[in-house]
Amino acid sequence: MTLPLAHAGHWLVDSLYAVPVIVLAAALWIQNLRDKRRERAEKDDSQPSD
Amino acid sequence: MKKVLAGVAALTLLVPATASAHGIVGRQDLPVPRWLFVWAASAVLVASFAGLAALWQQPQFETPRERVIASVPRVFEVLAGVIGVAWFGLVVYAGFAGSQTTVDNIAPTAVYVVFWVGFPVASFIFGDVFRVFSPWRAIGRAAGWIAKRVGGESMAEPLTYPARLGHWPAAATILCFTWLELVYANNDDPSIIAALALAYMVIQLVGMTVYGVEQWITKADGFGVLFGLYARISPLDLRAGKIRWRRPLEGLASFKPVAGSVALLCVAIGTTSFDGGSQGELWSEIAPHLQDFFAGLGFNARDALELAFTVGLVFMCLVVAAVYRIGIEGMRRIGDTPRAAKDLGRAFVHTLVPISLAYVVAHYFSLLAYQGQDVYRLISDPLGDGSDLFGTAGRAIDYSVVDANGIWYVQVGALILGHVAGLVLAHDRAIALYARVRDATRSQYWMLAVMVAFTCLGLWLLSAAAQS
Repeated sequence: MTLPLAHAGHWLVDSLYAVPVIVLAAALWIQNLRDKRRERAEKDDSQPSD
Repeated sequence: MKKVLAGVAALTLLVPATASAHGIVGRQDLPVPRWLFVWAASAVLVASFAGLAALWQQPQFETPRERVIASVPRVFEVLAGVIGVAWFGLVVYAGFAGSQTTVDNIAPTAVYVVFWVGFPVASFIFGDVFRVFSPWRAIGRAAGWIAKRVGGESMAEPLTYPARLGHWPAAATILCFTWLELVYANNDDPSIIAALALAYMVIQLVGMTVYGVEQWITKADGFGVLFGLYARISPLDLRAGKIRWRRPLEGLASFKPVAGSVALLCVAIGTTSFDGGSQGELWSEIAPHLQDFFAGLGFNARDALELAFTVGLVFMCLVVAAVYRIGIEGMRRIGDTPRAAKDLGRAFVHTLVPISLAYVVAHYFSLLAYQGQDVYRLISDPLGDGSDLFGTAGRAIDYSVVDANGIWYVQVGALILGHVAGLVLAHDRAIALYARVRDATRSQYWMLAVMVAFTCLGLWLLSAAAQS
């Protein structure tokens, strides 16, 4: 099967439709990291220091 | 910098000029590119999510607030059932006895437009109207009434519907029907439509005889279940001789999912997606390769094409199921204890209902707006034998009722509204489910991603279909 390079323009436009999903996935991933970091910090704060 | 500009200029040369839409409705002349609508729709969803997180702190839909606004005489339900049976009889008779030319026979339009598209729209506006007009339910209830009169107390009680079957027969029904509509080569043959309608009626009558009318209709009748789910969006609830008023979407929160409920909605969304996708350029590039593959296995050209389309249809259902599953897997890890994916999947499955309806409206709006008008002509000449029963046989379709731009705006609006409704339902359920509001909001990041993914997919498919 050959790659449909002749339709590269269409592929380029089609990829624009995926941009919101990609941006949101990246934002989710970053937010997830932040949440984990914050939870870890909260746990550390709640533990009594020796 | 010059190199970057040159690169951008080269890329813009690759971008095709705005393609024309379906010739039947004229050319779309949109003020901005279609992909920008997708970005805007995604922004609306993100803004809705932020608004819900900030302003919606208590579950609203978990406790129903409905009030009876009118009573419906029993004779109305009987009359509606008679109309449903008469309409079914007309379609089957026309399919067998009428002209076998698709456009001259009422059967294809009655099934694919009035039944498949008209009932979902009517259900969402007026409540569960299909339940009232369902011909198999009407016959089943009439048969039950007669049997009780004749047999009295000696009548055997119906069996208990197996819990493991749940909505699986309904999911299989919708998959088979959409296969007939989108894949089968003779999908518009009036006599085949009539034969299959009769076969479906027989299956329903057997099922109702074994498991009882209400059990069967609410679980296994694919159309009854799916249209009933769409009706739960409506503020009107037609039940037990009463018309109740409730908040829109509220009916979905009280939906009790069973085995196969997720599959049913994934099939409903996936098959509609395939309908749009199969008209696009990507599918027209892939389909011939798949057809060649099946032809290489020894199938003739027609069977090979049907198999290729079957693969595409099932694949789209699996894509939808996978997107939903990703959202559920993400939500599982939120909170102190991980939840079972099956339970969580069922808890949020009602959020897919407005999305499914939005896909139906978006994909079939033009069909309903144009082909729906043809009912006026066909009702006067249902068999296509030249009769003019109501004086409307000469009525032509008015293609100016809505233009190409209008269709696009309805499609975008339906998809945005459907996904915002899905977000609202998911947020409301999450608040009820999670002990902390923070966990509920975090869980909804994933549902937001699911909704944005479905919105982008839906608009991309519509856009591809419009450009082809």
